[in-house]
Amino acid sequence: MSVNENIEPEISLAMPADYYALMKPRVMRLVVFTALVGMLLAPGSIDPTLGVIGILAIAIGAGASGALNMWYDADIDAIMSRTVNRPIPAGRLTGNQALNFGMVMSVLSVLTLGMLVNWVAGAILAFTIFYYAVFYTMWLKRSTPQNIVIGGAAGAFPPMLGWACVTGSVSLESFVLFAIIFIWTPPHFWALALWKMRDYDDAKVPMMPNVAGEKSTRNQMLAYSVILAPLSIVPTLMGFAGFLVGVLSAVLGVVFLWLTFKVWQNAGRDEKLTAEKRLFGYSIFYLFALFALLMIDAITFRISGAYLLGAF
Amino acid sequence: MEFGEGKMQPGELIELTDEQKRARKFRNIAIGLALAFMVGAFYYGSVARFSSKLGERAATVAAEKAAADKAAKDSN
Repeated sequence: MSVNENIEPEISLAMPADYYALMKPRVMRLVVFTALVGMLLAPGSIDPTLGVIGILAIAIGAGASGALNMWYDADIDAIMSRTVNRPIPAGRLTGNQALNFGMVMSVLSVLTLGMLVNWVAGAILAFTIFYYAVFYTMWLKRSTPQNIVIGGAAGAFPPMLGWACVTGSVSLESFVLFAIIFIWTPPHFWALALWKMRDYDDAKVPMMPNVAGEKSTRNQMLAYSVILAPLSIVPTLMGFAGFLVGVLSAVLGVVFLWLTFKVWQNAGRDEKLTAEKRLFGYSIFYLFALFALLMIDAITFRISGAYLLGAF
Repeated sequence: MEFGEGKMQPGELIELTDEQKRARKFRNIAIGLALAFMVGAFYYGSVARFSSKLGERAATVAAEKAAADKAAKDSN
């Protein structure tokens, strides 16, 4: 039998922009930013060329895991309004194209980081891709309401990766940066899940509000925020951020706690879920502002040898 | 696409539409740029790695030479 006998030819119309969309650019930007902060906070230095290559490799690795996530979750994405326009459910790319792209990018990013920067960072990147694409996407997401709690670790690795690029190791300080993002993820994501519950229900994704109920979710969000607020100032207490950053981080943490308290307090009172939407928006600002402060402080320390307003 | 009754026969060639040709052209350009970027990254990355190691090596050699000179001077 001839190879192409009775086969409908399928010629791709995919554009480079569709492949770029597979890499979840908004997530990638956050990954680049937090990895850069980890790199700047780490003791020691890295050649600027290798630093840029390291950040790019981390970004491509994160994008690759996003592509693998979109390949596996295409069935869910086609149901949810938030994700229905992604390249695969929209028909711009096939699942196989996404899978091949994700696999190639994963291998290239890990090899590049390992060979040109160091293999500790390369190994952490490989683990992060595996954690997100296999552990979270293929298993946790569809099987437990704790999916984004445990899976949130994947999003928390980038500052540790940046740190490892410079030092060739991980340390307690890098774990603190990891912990901030890890503890931040549940209240951030559940604020979204509370007003997108129906979407997740239709897609049969066991998010916390759908499984444990709204009341339990709000209680847990408050608990995580109670941990997050003091965690915000740990970098200052441990001496790798200055006093001014500590004060501003405390303010950011207290506002986060207050907005989560409003979500907890207003349960069932507001059909428009204003408090939840406000918390979701603020949570993005919180993480950006906290890491921006740490970055400014790290740059100040590298230039002048002292933190803003001195150490704690 | 019209190939007989919608099925391709052995030996038939596919005629790409303008839209398909345009998409392929842009994909080829993107792959080309990505490959060129990778070559550049590995070239400059390797140079950066070598130069930092060479710097360390030069410093070690200079320190060893200084120590040896000092020892020779002290013994005299």
